Amino acid sequence: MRKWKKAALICVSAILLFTAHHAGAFSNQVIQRGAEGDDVIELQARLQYTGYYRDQIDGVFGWSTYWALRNFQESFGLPVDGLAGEDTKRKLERASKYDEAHVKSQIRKGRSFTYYGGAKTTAQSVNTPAGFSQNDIQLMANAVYGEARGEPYEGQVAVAAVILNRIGSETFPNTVAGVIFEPLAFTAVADGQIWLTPDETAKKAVLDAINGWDPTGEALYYFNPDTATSDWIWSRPQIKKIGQHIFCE
Amino acid sequence: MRSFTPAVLAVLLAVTAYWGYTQYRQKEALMIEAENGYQQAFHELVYQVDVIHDRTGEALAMNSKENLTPALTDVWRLTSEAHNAISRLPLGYLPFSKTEEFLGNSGNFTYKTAVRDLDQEPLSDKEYEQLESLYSQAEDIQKELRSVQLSVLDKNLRWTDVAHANANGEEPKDNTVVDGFNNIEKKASEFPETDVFQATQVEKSVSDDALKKLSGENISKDEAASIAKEYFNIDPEVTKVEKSLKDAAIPFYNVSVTGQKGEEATMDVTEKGGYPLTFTVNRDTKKSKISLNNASEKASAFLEKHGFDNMVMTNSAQYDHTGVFTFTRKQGDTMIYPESLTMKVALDNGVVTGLEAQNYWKNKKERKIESPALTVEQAKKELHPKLSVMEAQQAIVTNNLLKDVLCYEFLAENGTASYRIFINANNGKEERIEKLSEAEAGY
Repeated sequence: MRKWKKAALICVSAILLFTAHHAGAFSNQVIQRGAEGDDVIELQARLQYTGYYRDQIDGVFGWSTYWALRNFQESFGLPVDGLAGEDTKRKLERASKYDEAHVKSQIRKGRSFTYYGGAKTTAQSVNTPAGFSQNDIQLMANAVYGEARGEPYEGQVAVAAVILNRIGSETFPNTVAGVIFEPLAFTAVADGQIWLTPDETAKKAVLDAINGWDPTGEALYYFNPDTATSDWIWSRPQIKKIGQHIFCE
Repeated sequence: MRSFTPAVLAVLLAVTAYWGYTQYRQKEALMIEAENGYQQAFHELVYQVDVIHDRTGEALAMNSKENLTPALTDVWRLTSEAHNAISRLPLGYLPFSKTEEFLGNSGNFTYKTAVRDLDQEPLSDKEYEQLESLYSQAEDIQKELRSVQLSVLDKNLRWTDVAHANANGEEPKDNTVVDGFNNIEKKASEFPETDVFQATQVEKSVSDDALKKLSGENISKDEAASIAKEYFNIDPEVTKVEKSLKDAAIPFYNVSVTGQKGEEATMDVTEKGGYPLTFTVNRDTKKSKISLNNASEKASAFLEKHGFDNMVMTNSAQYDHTGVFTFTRKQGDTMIYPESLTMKVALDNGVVTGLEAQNYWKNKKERKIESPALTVEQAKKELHPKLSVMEAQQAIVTNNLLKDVLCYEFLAENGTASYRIFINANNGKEERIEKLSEAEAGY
């Protein structure tokens, strides 16, 4: 009886080991530049193992991963397209080893470590649009939420777009913080509502605006016609009304 | 008499309470104002260090004086602005001298090299090394500053509290700011003594008037609504169609719809010709089910279906469960970057959730592309010798003078960063250099 138990135990652990070993296989997606996630972590780890990738394993398919992949494709006689498709993934799997549990646990801990003698790995990264940091996005989300929560989504994107249009304009400061904290520019800043915690919608709206969406037709000002007291603001050329706000040049 | 005293006292109390309250309100208002000033200084400082990092990175890849001198001047200007921002912060006893020293040294180096005629006397190898170390030092400081910034934003830390604690000679309660600045200072002091120290987003180049050239018949409100319905893949119900206000660059209809599952979506359609300017669908995207690659194919098919011809994907990025793509028109072998547009695709069901095409419509025109005077090999010689070229192709871009010029586009790297460089295909001028951004570390 005891023997049988032992055999079963060995059996179970063998199965566990076996499946654990195979758990790190690519899913069947074609991985392209800009992608994030587990497949990218595996791709970077395998490219690092084969010596083509020398940067951090951070889970985002950026330029250095792209060059590494193209170099790998070139040396292994694959079509050089910078896409990790079926053939490329099979070749990579044959040419490298991948210890998923180890790599992932290190990434989760955000710990710098060396994988297969390659470069360091740190916490998982995220894509941010060129020229903007996560903190810029957060600060803008604060402003959008303070100014336009309760407005339709388009109206929130529009407020974010106005901030960006101001940064691009010569008559306003050149930074996110400069525009937002300019004295008397935004009511939410003057009355402290900017420090409310923004919701996901505000963040999404900011990301859309940074990625190029501008529902205002390049407006620099907006105002609420029910509460605006300045004659000057009414004299600005008006482009569009979204929700409670009129957007103008 | 007896009842008189309490009445007087009550009135006095009310007056005092009112006075106290107004005092409190005034103090609050002043506090917010002071806080806003500190916040502005701090976030500007972080941004300026960001740009110092980017601009020095770009300078490393530049080979012509016309570009290098302005880039160095820019860094010089930024170091002085960063200095200025530091001086507006209530740092009190917080140690910051090493960081200021770093800024000072970078300022000196960039000033010295920017005022020199770099054609007569180009950067020496030693100076190039100095520039390289400036670049990596800026990166260290940038990282630390960003993590302080993150905790400032995350925990709503008030600089007025730091100032208050400083004034009373106590340690501020939350030490993240102090610790962060200590870390930065430590990093900066590790720099050896001997050491001197934007997207390929779719470009906004042409004026609004460019939209006026769009041709076609005027459409009605109803037609605008049905055009919008065609673009939305969510079987929507039109809730509102509004005309743009009188000063819009071109008259358009703003169509709002609601989808079967409560998605709200809006779209701007030009009155003349019914061209789609911009639309977004706001819905909660669930867990990703399709790959970024798959989504880009869907975006591409969507463009083809709606008559955008010869569009090639030039950028892609995943944000949570949404894919964002830039498409650019390709004519023959030449990428026409001014004619680019941006799209969003939900990665849970593959539906197109956004299109931004205002710049595409502004710049779209018939173009006759002359054959260039230089060959790609000749243009390559204009690149910085430390760069290795990974890809090359012909492209039209808008230059600093807002003119569209035919260039060779090179994607290149120098071991530390990747660059996109446009060399004029007729005269070899470095028209534009962009440092390609890498993903930002999560904290």
